[in-house]
Amino acid sequence: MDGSPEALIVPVTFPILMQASDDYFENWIIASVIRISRYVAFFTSSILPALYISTTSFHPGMLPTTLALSIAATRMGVPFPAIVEAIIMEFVLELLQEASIRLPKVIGETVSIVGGLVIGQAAVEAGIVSPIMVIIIAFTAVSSFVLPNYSLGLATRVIRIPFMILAVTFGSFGISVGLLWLLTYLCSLKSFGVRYMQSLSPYRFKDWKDTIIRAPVQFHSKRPEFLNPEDSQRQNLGIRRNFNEN
Amino acid sequence: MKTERLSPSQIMTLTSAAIMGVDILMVQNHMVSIAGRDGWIPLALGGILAGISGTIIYYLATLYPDKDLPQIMIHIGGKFLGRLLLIPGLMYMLLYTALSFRIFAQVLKVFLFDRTPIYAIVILMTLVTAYTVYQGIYVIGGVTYILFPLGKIIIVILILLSLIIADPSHIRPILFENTAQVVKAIIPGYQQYTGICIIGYILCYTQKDKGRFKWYLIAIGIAVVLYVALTIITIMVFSAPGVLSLIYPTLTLSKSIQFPTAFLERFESITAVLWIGIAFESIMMFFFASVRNFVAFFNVKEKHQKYLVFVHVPILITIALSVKLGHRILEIFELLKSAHSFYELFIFPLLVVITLIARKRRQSNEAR
Repeated sequence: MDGSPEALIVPVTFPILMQASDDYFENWIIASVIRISRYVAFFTSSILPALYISTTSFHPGMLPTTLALSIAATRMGVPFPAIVEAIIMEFVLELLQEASIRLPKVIGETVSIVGGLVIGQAAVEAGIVSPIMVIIIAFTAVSSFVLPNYSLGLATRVIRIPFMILAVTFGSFGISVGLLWLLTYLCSLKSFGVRYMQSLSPYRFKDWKDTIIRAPVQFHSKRPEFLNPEDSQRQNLGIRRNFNEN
Repeated sequence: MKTERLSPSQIMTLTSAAIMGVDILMVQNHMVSIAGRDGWIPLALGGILAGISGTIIYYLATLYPDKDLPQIMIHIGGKFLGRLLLIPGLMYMLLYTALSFRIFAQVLKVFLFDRTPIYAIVILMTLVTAYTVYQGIYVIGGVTYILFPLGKIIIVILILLSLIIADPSHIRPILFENTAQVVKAIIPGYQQYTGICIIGYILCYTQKDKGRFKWYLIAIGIAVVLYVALTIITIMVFSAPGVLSLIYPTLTLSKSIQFPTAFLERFESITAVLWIGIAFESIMMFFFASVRNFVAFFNVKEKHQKYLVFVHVPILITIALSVKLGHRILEIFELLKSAHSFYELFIFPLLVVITLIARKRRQSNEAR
């Protein structure tokens, strides 16, 4: 538009941010599994470090004894509590991400390798952080990259810290309260008059064929109901039918 | 863009959420203390009574499609008498919300956070609930939609997993030399569904659709089925005398389920965490109802409703934290529900009769 190769799609809803164009070129089962994994990634990216902190600090009894003992063994000799460890690792990770974006591609990759592997390994061997925390933070970082929308990934990176503070202060109750607050906030958002959580809340089962899963193409002949379209029929239905027949 | 209104199916999630709140943890104890091993029968019969009473409240709300329950009371009773009639309801909603916060905090302290002070739990929960109520009924509806399946699924899983350790002989013989107690327990059984009156607060915000009543009955049905099933299974597992010795049988039930080789060792920690969501849904609805009562009582403009939410926060925290009665708090809770059931069983039907008589008179006057 006006010489720019990019366009804005409005209104935007949470499920739309979980959709990627690749989904429509894959088999519907594969696309659906990938899409579900994105929703899981959203939660792990937001609250996994907080869950780890609350479980190890407040509710170790929730875990099987062997797992609790193995986590305790990896934390032996680490001078910091779990929250300090997590914040140090988060800070390093953010620096590395920013550095790799700003630097030229070749050097950026070097920074990622040096940062991710060398510093991580050295930090564990020096006893500053525990190996399990490195795993948690790495898993969280990978989860944030799974989200197709970069801004949503950034948002999960930001809300991670308040969740960690709530977890270290109130345990799983703090995380629950944080999630309730986040849910309220998401439900209160509107994009061009459309609720941000539309089709997930309130339920619009007709729209679910392209929300959490990606149903087969023949089910996509209608436009999403939550947009209140004047013409509910999608265009290019003939092309779509031919595509299916072939 | 269409004007935003709650969808008819949201009546189901909102009403069901309001009915099944903090009560879900102790409903079995209360019913068994009156009707023994047959405690589930009056609970089921009370559910039918709740359906009838709920229908009357629903009908009252449909007679005034643009007003909620407190506004209807003031409209019928007039400025003075209407407000006088509203005062007990206003006090009930406020105290019920505050005591729900307190019981919620007490339960969490006993089962999950023994080192966390009660005031911290109460304050944090009040603030997050106030934030949701501040956002208005449409956001409340949206939040409830997401939380609704989570809460119900965990109860169903709890019931199914408890079947492994259940002993059916604990509920037999059914109705043996116990009929009088069962009859006596029908009204207390009905009082467990006190959230049915919430329909009077939300119906004016929903789309005018014929399916609304169906969804409302489904909500009551879900609550009745889950309450009765939970009570039966709890009696089967612990026996009637065992249930009497437990303050929160539902959490003790989840505590008795163990996954020795699974990822999580104890089921009660998951139940307790997910129960936060269930309790939140219910308290949120009563909080909203309390705010609406104040709006009608003090004739506050709709746009200023959010300020009443802020006013509620310190009041609710003060009431919740000033109660120092230990387990007697549950007795007060039941007493409050008894008082409110009088409203649901007598005052609301009376309001329906008054409205119908007044309308008939007006019609006959117009005809003349």
